[in-house]
Amino acid sequence: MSAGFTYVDNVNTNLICCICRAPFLNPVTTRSCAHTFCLECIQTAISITPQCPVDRSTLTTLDLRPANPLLRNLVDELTVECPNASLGCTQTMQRQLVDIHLRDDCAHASVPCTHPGCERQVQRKELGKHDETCRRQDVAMCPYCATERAVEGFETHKRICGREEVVCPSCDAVTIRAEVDTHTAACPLTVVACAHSGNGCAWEGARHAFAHHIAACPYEAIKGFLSIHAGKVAALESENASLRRKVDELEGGLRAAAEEAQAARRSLGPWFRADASTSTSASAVASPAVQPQRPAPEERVLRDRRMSPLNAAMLGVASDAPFVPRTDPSLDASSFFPPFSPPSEDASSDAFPYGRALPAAPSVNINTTLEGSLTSLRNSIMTVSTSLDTMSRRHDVALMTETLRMHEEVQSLRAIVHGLRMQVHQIMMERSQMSLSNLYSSGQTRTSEDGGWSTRAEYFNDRPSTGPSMSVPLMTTVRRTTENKL
Amino acid sequence: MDLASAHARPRVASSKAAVSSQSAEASGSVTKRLGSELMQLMMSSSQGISAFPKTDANLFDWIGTIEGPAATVYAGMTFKISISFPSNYPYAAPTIKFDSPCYHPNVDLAGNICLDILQDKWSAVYSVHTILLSLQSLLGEPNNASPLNNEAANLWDTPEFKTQLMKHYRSPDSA
Repeated sequence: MSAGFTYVDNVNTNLICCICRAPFLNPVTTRSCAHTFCLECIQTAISITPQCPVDRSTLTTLDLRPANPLLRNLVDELTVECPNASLGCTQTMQRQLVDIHLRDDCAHASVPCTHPGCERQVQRKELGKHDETCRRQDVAMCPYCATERAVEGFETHKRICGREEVVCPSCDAVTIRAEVDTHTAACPLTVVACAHSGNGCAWEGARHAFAHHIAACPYEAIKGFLSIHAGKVAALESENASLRRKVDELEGGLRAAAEEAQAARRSLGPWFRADASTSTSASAVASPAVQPQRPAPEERVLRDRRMSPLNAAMLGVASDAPFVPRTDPSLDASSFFPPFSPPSEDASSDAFPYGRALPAAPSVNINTTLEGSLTSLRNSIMTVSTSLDTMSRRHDVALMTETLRMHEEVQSLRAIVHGLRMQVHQIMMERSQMSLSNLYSSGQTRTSEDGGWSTRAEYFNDRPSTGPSMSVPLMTTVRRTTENKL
Repeated sequence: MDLASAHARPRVASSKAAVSSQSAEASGSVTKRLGSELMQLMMSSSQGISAFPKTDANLFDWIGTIEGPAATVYAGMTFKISISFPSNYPYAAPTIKFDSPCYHPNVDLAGNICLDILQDKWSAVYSVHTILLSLQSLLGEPNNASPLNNEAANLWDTPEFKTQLMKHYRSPDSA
């Protein structure tokens, strides 16, 4: 192996092995003839010819002993170049330090890739570059199961690896993790509870003592009874569970039904009437529209009859109400004002039926559907509106005839008034002529009388509030009103 | 693509280098020793002997020259020899032949040499230098007890030997 070193300085020829012609490497000296060689060189030479290569004396490997330490130090301290000088390492060092240099320092030394499974040898200075491209960098070797695992999740795998050896806490036996359960199930030292622990036996102990205990266990004696008992309890429990399930279902159904009823009641609003015959419990949740004191069915019928006849007629609930149906052709205007106190068995209860009927829920025949009631209501409204129309038309006709009659009357009155006025005027004219003739025919005495007359005349002319002057504006007013009516 | 090929190429090259270096490892110590012997020969001031590898590429085949020692019948003559080293040199002796004809009791007409240190007396401490010196001395002091050339052995110490020698001798320069 002397070929491995390049010596920097010239080496003293006394330190040269005569076989390899290089400084001694691991020098040995022959016991018999005191010649010194490299160990490897002389071993090879002896294996071919068992003689000293120098003096041909007989020689075996047993005759070799390490050379003088002085000599060993001399050759070990020779300065050599790094063996990787051809790769670029420029360092020189003592020969004995070469191994350390190669192992720890030399940037050009070949080192194996650190990733398991990667066979590459790379120079130390290029290890980082290789790491980046190494195909195996994401792989690590599990020390337990000897399989390759991705680095990601490797720690997790190591914790749960089935091949890792673990120690049984009870018996100190070593098993692999995958067989821990099997071992625990059979380990004689594992603490187990009595088979009757469910029935109350408090015994616990190592598995090997279990057989001894079971022989004396008081629960073992009544094992048969306990098993029968357990079977019964289980049957009861399952039955109980099924019953509970059924109760839950029923409760759910009931709740749904109640909600449905509530919704129906809400949509019905004041139309809702709890039927006494359907349920008694429903009264508890009945709508506020229902009278708190539930009357007997017969009484309720009476109450229905007591409702406003007008309402009843409008709703088409004629039945036995004392009201004429609207469709009667002999309908008169007066028939729209029926007696407000219909004949009733309980007249004292209500003087004015509207007072009670209006705020309360409109009462209809509960035997008809809401739809029917609405239809009949609609019909009633139609008939009411038509009759209202007819009535107004009738009213107009009646008013017109009345107005005409009144007009004629006013006309005749006006003619009469006119006649009276003419007569009064004539009388006045006669009176003035008479007074004038008296004035001219008589003397002084007539003068005072004349003054008296003049004042009266002024009275008549200047104040026409009485007599004909008054009647004229009155008549025009009347005429205007009658014309407006026509 | 360029990246991949760039990665692949150095790998191939390095593996080739590894193979060649592995085979060189075995012969490394031999070439190292032969190199040191060559250096020793060139540095030494020995008279009348020299040796060089035939080609620079192959250190295992050398050509050497030996001048006849003064005060012998071989004085003034020059002989060419070929040296071929085995792969386990120096533990085995090299094969040595005279290339030029040499009329000598221990050398046959084909150039084979009968010398104990080249046969059973070989030692790992011998070198090209020592062999050439031995051959040089052998010229003047033949071992007539074990001749390869009986005629030459018989004629040794007679004037006829010189005549026969000159008849056989051809200078390597003239050739």
